[in-house]
Amino acid sequence: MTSQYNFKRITVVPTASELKEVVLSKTQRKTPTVVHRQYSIGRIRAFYARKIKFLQQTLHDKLTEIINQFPKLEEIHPFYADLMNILYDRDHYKIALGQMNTARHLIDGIAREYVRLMKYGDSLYRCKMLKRAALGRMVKLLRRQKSSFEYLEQVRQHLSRLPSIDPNTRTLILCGFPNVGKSSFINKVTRADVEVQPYAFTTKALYVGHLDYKFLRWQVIDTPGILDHPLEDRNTIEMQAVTALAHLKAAVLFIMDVSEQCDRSIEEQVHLFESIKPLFANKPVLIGLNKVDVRRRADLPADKEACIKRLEADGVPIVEMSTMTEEGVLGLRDNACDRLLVQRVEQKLQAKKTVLGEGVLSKIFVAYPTPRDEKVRAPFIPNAALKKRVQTRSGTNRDLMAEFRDERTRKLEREIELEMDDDYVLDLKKNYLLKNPDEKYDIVPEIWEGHNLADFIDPEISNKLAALLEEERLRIEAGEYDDDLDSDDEETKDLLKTAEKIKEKEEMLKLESREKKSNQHHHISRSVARKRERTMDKLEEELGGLGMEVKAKRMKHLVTESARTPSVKKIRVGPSRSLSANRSVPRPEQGLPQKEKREKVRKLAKKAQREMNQDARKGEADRHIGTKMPKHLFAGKRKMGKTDRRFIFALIQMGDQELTCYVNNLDEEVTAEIIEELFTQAGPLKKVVWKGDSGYALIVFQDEESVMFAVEVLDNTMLFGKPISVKPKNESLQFEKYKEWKQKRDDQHEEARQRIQHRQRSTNNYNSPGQQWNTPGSQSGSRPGRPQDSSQYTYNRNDRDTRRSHDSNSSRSYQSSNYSWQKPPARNEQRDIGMREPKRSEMVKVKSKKEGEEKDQSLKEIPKTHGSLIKKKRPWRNKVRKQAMKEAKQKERLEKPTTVASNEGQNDKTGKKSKKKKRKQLQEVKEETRDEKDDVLKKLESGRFR
Amino acid sequence: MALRVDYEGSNEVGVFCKLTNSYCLVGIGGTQNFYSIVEAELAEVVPVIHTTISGTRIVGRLTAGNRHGLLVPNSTTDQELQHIRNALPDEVQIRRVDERLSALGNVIACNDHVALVHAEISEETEKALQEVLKVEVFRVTLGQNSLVGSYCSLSSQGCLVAARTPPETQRELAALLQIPVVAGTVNRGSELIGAGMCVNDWIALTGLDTTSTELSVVESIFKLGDNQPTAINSQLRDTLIESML
Repeated sequence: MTSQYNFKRITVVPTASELKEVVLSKTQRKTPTVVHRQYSIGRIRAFYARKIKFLQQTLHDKLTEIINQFPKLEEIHPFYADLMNILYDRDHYKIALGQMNTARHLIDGIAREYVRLMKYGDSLYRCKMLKRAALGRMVKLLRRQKSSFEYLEQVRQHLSRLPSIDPNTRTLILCGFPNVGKSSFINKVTRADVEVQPYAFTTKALYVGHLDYKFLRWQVIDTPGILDHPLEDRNTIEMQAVTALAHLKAAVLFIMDVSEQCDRSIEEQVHLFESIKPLFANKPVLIGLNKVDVRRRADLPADKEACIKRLEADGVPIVEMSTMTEEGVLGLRDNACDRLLVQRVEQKLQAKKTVLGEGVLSKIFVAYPTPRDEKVRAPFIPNAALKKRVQTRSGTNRDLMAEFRDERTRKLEREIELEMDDDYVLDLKKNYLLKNPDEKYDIVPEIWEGHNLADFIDPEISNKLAALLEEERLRIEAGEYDDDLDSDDEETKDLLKTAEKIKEKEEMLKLESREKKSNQHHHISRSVARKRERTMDKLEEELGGLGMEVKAKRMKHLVTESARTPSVKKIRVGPSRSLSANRSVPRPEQGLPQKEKREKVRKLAKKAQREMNQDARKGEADRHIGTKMPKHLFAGKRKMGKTDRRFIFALIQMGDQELTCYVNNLDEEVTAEIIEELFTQAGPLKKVVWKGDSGYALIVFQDEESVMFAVEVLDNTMLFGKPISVKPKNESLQFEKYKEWKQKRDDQHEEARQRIQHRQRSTNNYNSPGQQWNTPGSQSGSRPGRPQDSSQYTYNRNDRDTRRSHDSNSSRSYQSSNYSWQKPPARNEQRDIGMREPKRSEMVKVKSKKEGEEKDQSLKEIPKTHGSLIKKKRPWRNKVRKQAMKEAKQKERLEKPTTVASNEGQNDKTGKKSKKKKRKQLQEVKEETRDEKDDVLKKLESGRFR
Repeated sequence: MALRVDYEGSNEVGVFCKLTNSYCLVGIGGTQNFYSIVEAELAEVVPVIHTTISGTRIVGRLTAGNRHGLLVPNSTTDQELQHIRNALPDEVQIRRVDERLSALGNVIACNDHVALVHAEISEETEKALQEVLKVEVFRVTLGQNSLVGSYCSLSSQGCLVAARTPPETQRELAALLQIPVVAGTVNRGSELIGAGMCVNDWIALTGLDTTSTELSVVESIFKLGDNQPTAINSQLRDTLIESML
C-alpha cells in the first residue's frame, strides 16, 4: 500500500558539475585509451566515435534514470499531485524534468552529428579534435541545466521526508484553527510524536500517526491549522491541510476550542467550519469540542451554544473531549472510526456486489449445524485449564505465573537451556509417566543378540503363556499323549519295517559306491607298472612251484628283456604335476624376432642415448638444472665466457671436471693445434676446448693422472715468450692436489734458495751450471721446488697396484702403446725403485735431497725439443744431452738391451716437455737437466724391471 | 485463548506440533523457545512431549490424534514409539498404522468425536480411527482440497476451513461435525489452516504472522476465551469486509 507512494527510493540527483566529472571519467575509464597515428584511419575513427557514443549513452542513461524516478504528476494520486503542486510548484517541477528530457535529446543529437562528422576526420589529430568538440558540447549542455539539477535534488530531499500517507486506506483527518489541540489529539490516540506548543502554526506540515481499532490499522493525519479566509489567500502551510481534506476519503475530525483559548471565538470557528464545509462532502464529519477541562459545553453562553446547536442540527455529531484529561478522546476516535467503517463497507458492498457471493461472504458465513442425532458431543476442557484461565483473567501476568506453576514445570525448558548454555542436552525422559518413577532413566537395550527387542514385546505374554500351560495340562490329564505307539495296527507296522529295510539298503549302496570311488588309481599297463617284477627267476620260481619247468633258453626273449634296464621312467603315483603356463616371449623379442636385427636396434638406441648420457640427462625432455644459480656463473667473475649454463655443463661435466686442465696466459700466436700438440705430451687427450680469443684453453685428458702430470710438467712453459699457466679445474679434486703440490713446491723453492745463498756465500768459486738454478727471484718457483730425490721414482704397470695401495692420492702411471710415461710423483710418495727403498719420513727426505743434488750433476739428460715452438735458450743442451744419453745407453745396455731403442724414441718425445725460464736461463737449464735426469733414471728402472 | 507463536522462524506451527485435549506433541528442534511457550501454557494441564516421528520433527503432519488416542505412521521407529508411550498418560492409546498416505496429519482432521478423512484412506486406518480415537469417520473433500488435515482445523467447539471452501460444503461439514464451521485464513492469508495452526478445546496456537482479524476469527469460531462464533457475523463483519476488500 505505502510502497506505491514511497518517494524515499529516488536516488540522489548529482549536481551538473558532479555529473560532468562522473561521465567524463567513466568515458575515460571504460573506453580504450591507446591509439596510434599509424593505425588505419578507420580504426582511429572508430576509436573516437566510440568515446563519443559512450559518453552519450552514459549521459542518456543517467538522465533517463532521473526522469523516470521522479513521480509524474499525472500518474500519482491527486492528493500527492496537489501536495507537490503546493510544495514545489507544478510548473517549476515539470519544466525541470522537461529540461532534463530536452538535454537528453540534444545530447543524443550532438553525438549523432559528431559520429557522422567523424567520417570526415582524415587524421588522428582531426578525429581527436572532433571527439573533443563533441564531448565538450555534450558536457556544456549539462552545465546549462545546473539550476534544474539543483532544484530536482531539493525536491528529492523534501519528497523523501514526506510522511508516507496512503491515500486509500482508512484515514482520520484532523482540522481546525491553529492551536485548538489537533496535535495533542493525535499524540493521544497514536504514537506519533508531533510537536505541541502553545502558539499558532506549530505544525507546519502534514503528520501521520497510526492506531489500531477493531483489528484494523487506521491512519490519522494531523494538518496545520487553517484560517478563515478565501482559498486564494491561503498560504502553503494551510494549503497542505486543504489538499488533504479535499483529496483523502476520510473521516474529518473538526476540532474546536470550546474554551476559546486559541484566540478564536466559537462563532469564528463555526464560520470556518461552514466555509470549508464543501471539502467535507460525502465524508463522515465529527466535531470535537476540545478543552472541556477548561470550559464545559454546558457552561457556554446561550448565543455560542446556539451556534453549536445549529451545527448539530445539520447532523454533525459533536463530542466533548479534553486532550488534557483524555476525557472523550477515545469516544471521538471510536465514533469517527465506526462511522467511516460503516461508510466504507457500504460503498464496498455496493461496488463489488458481484464478488460477494463467492469470495467474501463465505468468509463471514458461519455454518451452524442442525442436530443429526441425540449424541452429545461436548468439549472436554480439564479443570486445570479452567483454573488457569481464571488465574490469567485475574490479571496475573506471565512472569508471576511461574509461581503458580507446579513443581515440575516451574522452570521452563528454555530457561534451563539458557542456564546451561552449551552444556544443555534435552532430557526426553524427564516427564515420563511411569508406574515406578525411579525406572525413568533405566537403559533398555534396543538390540539383544541380533534381535530387535521391540519385536518381542508383548504385554500379554504372561497371560498367553498361562493359557497355553493350562491347555497342555488339560491335554495331559485327558491322556492325549499316553497311547501314542500302541495305536498303530499290524499293517502299518509291516509297512514301517519294509521302509526301514529299504532305507538300510540304500545306505549300504551309498557307502559301497563311495568306497569304490575312493579306491580308484591311475590305470597303467602291466608291461610298464610291473616291469621290475618280471624276472626270469621269479618266473621260474612261480612256474616251478606250479610244477612247470621253465628253461632259460626257451624264455630267451624274457631274459633279454629283463636284462635291459627299464627304459621307462618309474611311474610316479599320485597327482600329476600341473601344467605351467606358457611363458610369453618378452616384448622386445616379440617385436623383432631376428636376433641380429634386435641387436642392431639395441645398439642404435644406445647410440642415440649417448648424447643425453654425456650431458647427464635422462632423455631429450630432461631440462633439469641441478643448481639453479651456480655461483660461478652469476658472480661475474668470467669476463668473456658464456653464461649459458647448459654450455658450461656440457663442457665440463662432473666426469670431465677431474680430467680437465685449465691453460691460460696464452700468446696470441698460440693456436689450438699447438696446444693440442703440446698437451699430447702429457697424456692422451679427449678434447681441447679452445678459447684462444679469451686467452685460455681447456684440455680434457682421458685420465685424471695426466692432469697433475701436465701441471707439473708444463706449468710455466714458455710459449712465444709467454709462460703459460696450467692448473686443474678449480672445483676438481685435482685442484686440491695442485694446491698441495704448489705449496710444497714454493716451500722447497724457498728452502733451496736459502741453501744456495748460503753455499754461495761459503764457496764463491762454485761454478757448476747445475748449481746456478738457485738464483733468487726465479719467476716460476716450480723448478727449484721439485724434489730432487724424485729422480729415483718411477712407475710402471707392474708395481702400479702396489703403489696405489700405498698412496691413493697420487696414483698415476700412464703407459699405452703410443706413450710410455714415467712420471715424477708428488713429493711424499713412497719411493719404489724396484721396491728397494723403504718409505721415508720427511726428515729423511730432506737429508736425501742433498745427496740427490750431488747426484744430479752427474746425471743429465736434455730432452729433445719439439721443433722451434718451444724456444728454449739453452746453448749447452746438446752437450748435456749427449752426456746423459751416453750414460743412459750404457746402463740400459747393461740391463736390458732390447728396450733401449724404444725408450730412446720416447725419450726424444719426452724432450718436448722441456720448460724454460725467461729471465733466469741458467737456473732454468739446471732444472731441466735434473728433470731429464729423473726421466732417464726412471726409464732405466722401468727397463730393468720390465 | 489464541497465541501467536513461531517454530524456529516458521509460521507453520501445526506442522511441528500436535495439540489435543490430553497431550501435546512437539517436534525436537534446535532451541526450546517454542516448546517453552507451549509448556508454560499447557504443561500443568496436559503432558507436552518432545518427540520425533521417523526421525523428523514434522510431528503435527505425520500423526493424527485426539483425547483418546494417537495414530502414528508405520515409519515411526520402535524407540520413538516407546518414548511416546512412556510419556503419554496410560488412558491414551497409541497405534502404529500401515497407511499408504503416511502423513496422517494431512489426511485426517479430527476432534474427540468426529474425524474427517481423505477419501482414499485405507480400511484398516479407518478401523484404527474408530477403535483408537473412538470417533465417527467421514470421508470428505473440502471443495478442491482433498487433504482435509492440511486445509482445516477443528476442535470440539468449532471448525475453521480454508477460505475458498464453498458455503454448501461448510454446511455439510457442520452437519457432520455438529459444530459451527467457518471459512478463513491464518498467517496473513494462508489457506493451509491445519498446517498453520493447532487447536484444542481451550487453546489455539497460530503462526506469528496471523493478523489480528484472523486471530479474532479463530478465537470466535473455537470459542476461546469468551468469544462466540456469532461474533463473526456481528462485530467482526465490518472488519472482515474492510480487511478483505
